[in-house]
Amino acid sequence: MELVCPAGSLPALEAALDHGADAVYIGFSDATNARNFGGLNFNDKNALRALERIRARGKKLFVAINTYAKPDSFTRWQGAVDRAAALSADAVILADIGLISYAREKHPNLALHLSVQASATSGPALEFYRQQFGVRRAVLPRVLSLRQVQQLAAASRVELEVFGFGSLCIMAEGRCHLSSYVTGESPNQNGVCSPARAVEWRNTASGLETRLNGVLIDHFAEHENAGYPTLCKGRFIVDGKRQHVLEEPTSLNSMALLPELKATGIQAIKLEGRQRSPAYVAQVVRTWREAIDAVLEPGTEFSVKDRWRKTLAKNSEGKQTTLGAYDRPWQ
Amino acid sequence: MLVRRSIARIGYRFGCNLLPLLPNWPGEVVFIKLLNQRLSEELQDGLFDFLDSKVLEVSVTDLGVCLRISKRDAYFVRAPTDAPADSTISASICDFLAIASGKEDPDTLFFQRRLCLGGQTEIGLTVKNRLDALDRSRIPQWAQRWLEMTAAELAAIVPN
Ligand code: SF4
Repeated sequence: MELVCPAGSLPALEAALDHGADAVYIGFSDATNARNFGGLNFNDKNALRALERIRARGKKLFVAINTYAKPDSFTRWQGAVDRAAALSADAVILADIGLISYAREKHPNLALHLSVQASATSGPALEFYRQQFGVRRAVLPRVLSLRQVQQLAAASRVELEVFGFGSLCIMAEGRCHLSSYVTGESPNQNGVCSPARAVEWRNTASGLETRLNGVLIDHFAEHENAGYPTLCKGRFIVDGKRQHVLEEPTSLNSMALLPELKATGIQAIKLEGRQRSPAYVAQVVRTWREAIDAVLEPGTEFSVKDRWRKTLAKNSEGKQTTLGAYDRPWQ
Repeated sequence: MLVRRSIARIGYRFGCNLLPLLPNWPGEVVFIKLLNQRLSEELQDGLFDFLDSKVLEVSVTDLGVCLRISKRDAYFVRAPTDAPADSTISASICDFLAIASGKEDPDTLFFQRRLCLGGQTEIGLTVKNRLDALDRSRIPQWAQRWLEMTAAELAAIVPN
């Protein structure tokens, strides 16, 4: 089982390598990737440095180009694929089917991974991407329950990668309109959910208010944990009660399912968080490295150590972690 | 160990009581000089251009210290005293040191309300990302060790 780790900067990439990553995924600093925040990601100079460091350790580098081009900007997305190919990255992580087709034709040797943003949730969808474009691996959306993941894995001829840990983007992967509804910018087109320019924090007498493009998203009392104001994690008054209507601000943590995921033949575990600091990457990667090593150890019974649970809970958005859809038996 | 901790405790208390009484400008001058020296390459490369004519206010809450920074040409400069801040970042000295020494993740501290952002979020976030991206190996070894040690000592004596 490969541990695929996030890096938004060179120090984060170093931290991932130092603490046991098998592969690191990065993005270029523009809207071609889904973590398009100021000061984050890699220009050509740094991407080259990233590659050198990866090669020196014998690990893999993936480049995420996982947003959707607009009709008049397709060349920029093609350019990003060309840059990743010129870098000889070990794979590109793509969502846009037109871009996948371009990458396959122009760079026949470039390995293609299907991004979670492509939202492929059925066997036939995965098989289509494999037959048409030779897609080697797909990152499964977080909308699937464990049973559904197992069903897919049993029949899939595409390698499967699932989310291990990170901020939870709710049940509309690649199809979410909440951010564009409020801010005019969406993860799929602009590479960012709830762009920072639209975010406002205001200290009031009763606590901290957070607004997105002027719309009140949440209000935190004195010592309550705060979260980044995405519309899905806001609290709103419904039926006279103020509550999280769409999703609680929690982080996904599927560590407890590692034995099942291994038994199902899942090839890779992905950690979320290119927008987070090297300190986060170091702590989270180290924890998952230990857990994966433990689950791969033959003849031992796996259980999630308290220390691991604590480290992950500390680094999560919201105070708690959840199994998310993996644990929704009604699906 | 015990001696070191006592010194840290006395130093910290002394700082909390004394520093709020002093003017901010000497600290500002020294801090900005340090930034200009250490980040000259990044400044030349335009990585901090987003701060041009903006005012960033960094407050160390427990020490009552407030540093106001702006940027002109390829240099950080002191912000004019009458200009309101475009973006503010505040935390305790412990938490700033924990971030600086790479021990804590700023987002984690932010979620826990220990690091506060105000004003234009984009500036604060970009500052965070730029600082995260700096090559730590360029900080001299002794300074790194000092940072880590001070951060650990303070973390042990100051409750968050
Ligand atoms: S609003 Fe929520 S569900 Fe939609 S893209 Fe943003 S984080 Fe994901």
